[in-house]
Amino acid sequence: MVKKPKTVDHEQQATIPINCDEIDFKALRKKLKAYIKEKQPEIDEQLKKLEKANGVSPEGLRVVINI
Amino acid sequence: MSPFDFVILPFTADNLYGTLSSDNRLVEVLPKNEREIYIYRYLQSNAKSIVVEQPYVDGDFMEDFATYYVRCYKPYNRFCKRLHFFGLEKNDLMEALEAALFTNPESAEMIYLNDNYLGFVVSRSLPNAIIGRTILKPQHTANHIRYEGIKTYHAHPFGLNLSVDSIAFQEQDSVLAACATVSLWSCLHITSEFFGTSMPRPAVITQTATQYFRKTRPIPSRGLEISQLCDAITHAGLEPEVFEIVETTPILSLIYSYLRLRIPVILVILIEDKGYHAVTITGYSLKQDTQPAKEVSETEKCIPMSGSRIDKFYAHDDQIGPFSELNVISHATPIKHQGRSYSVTFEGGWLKENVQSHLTIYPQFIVIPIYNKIRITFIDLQRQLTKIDMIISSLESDKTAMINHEWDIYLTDTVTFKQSVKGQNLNHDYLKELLLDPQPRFFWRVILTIDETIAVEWLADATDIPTAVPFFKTIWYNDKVKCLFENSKIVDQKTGLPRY
Repeated sequence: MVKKPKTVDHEQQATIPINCDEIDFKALRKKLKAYIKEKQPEIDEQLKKLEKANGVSPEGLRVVINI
Repeated sequence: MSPFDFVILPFTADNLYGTLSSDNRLVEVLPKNEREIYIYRYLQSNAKSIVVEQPYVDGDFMEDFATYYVRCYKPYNRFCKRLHFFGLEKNDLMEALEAALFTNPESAEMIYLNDNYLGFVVSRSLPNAIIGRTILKPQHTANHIRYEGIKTYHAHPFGLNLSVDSIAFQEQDSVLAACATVSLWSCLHITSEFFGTSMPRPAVITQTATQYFRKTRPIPSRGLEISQLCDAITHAGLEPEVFEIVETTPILSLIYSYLRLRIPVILVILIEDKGYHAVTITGYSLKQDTQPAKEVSETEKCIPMSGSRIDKFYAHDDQIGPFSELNVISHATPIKHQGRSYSVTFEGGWLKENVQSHLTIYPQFIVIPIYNKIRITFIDLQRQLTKIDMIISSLESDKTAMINHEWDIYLTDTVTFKQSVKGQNLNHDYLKELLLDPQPRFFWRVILTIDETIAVEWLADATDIPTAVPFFKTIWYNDKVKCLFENSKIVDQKTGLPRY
């Protein structure tokens, strides 16, 4: 049976400057957790603003397009 | 000349305006009409000859005629003229027509004729707005220009089988159709084929739009409200997806995301010193090296998206012409107009009177006639990506891993997706897995690129519940990104789907 690869071969793989061997993932996970906690109010505010962009106001529905 | 000869004229301004004319509209006044001048300029570089098909029965005009014009005291002609445009000189075209006339649609003669066919314009016998149903090949072609909202139209003059990829255009007659009706009419031409829904004629659109709510008499038409436009869309068997442009709306990316499904988008605009107008967006120009526009107000946040590099849209504007240009004007500092601020405005064929400078076009609403099962909107998806984008941005600013990233987000259907992945450089077994995997009919493609290299793609079910997490499939394109995202627990290790 052919072993199924997990990812896709891509000719430009080398161009992305990530070196997993040099990253301390334990420290990174901790840092990300703290970052998300700190940013949560900002994220919540952003989500609220985006909700307003999802639809149309009652006044908007009454706009007459007439040129 | 035999009455059974083709009527072929060299393509010149005089011949075009002359053949467009009728008893109700004299040729002397024609060159002053902007739409006819636009058509001439549009075709000028490619068209060499005009073939006149007369009389021509046009279904759209016949409906208008039966609804209104037949009851006028003045006798209007129910027959139209149809002008076909070819990129062949008169004598060459005569030979090509003679050769193709007696052959089958697959013949070399017919293919040659089709290769040189540019489309047609129906001329209505009206005092104004003589440009009826018009199907013209898109004029601007380049690798960075894509026309998404188009389909193949067939024309059969003299039993020939001519075809052209386009979207129907017509000038508003201000009797049965104003701009909103015409823009929706164009749009429904494409959605009818894509979704299998109805393709109502302008008179029917105006009637269905005004059947429930009206402030004034609907015909002669003096325009439509957004809510009436929604009623007409519902009557055509689709759902009206409406977005009001606010300071947080990434307008370019939003339009792009729906256009990629190959359906046109209606853009309602406020034209400086004029009023509200509707156009049908059918294509865009997106160059890889264009600096991304700031799509939202400077005080607002927005995830970086490919659509922000669009520098131009192509729109059917019934007051200008088919595939007219709408240039994107990005403002580093948003400009104010009537109490609202705009980070993106447009400039197009609308000019200030007696001054050759452009009027500013302020985007107001986006209206998309969409299939009822497409429930997750672009904005819903943007909400889903807000958190993970912030995390990826933090990795960048922290210089942990990446330099810059961008999201390419657009709506697609399973058939188009499976055809497109066949063209990618995917491993055979992995490609087979993707092709055999059952999918929803419509879904969003969310492609993350890092330093212009595709890193990962997530598919999000467009038919899902808006409050749910719609992602259902991960396609990894890069081992390094996979390693980073999995080990930092940004994504689920088993499924690869975002954890935030």
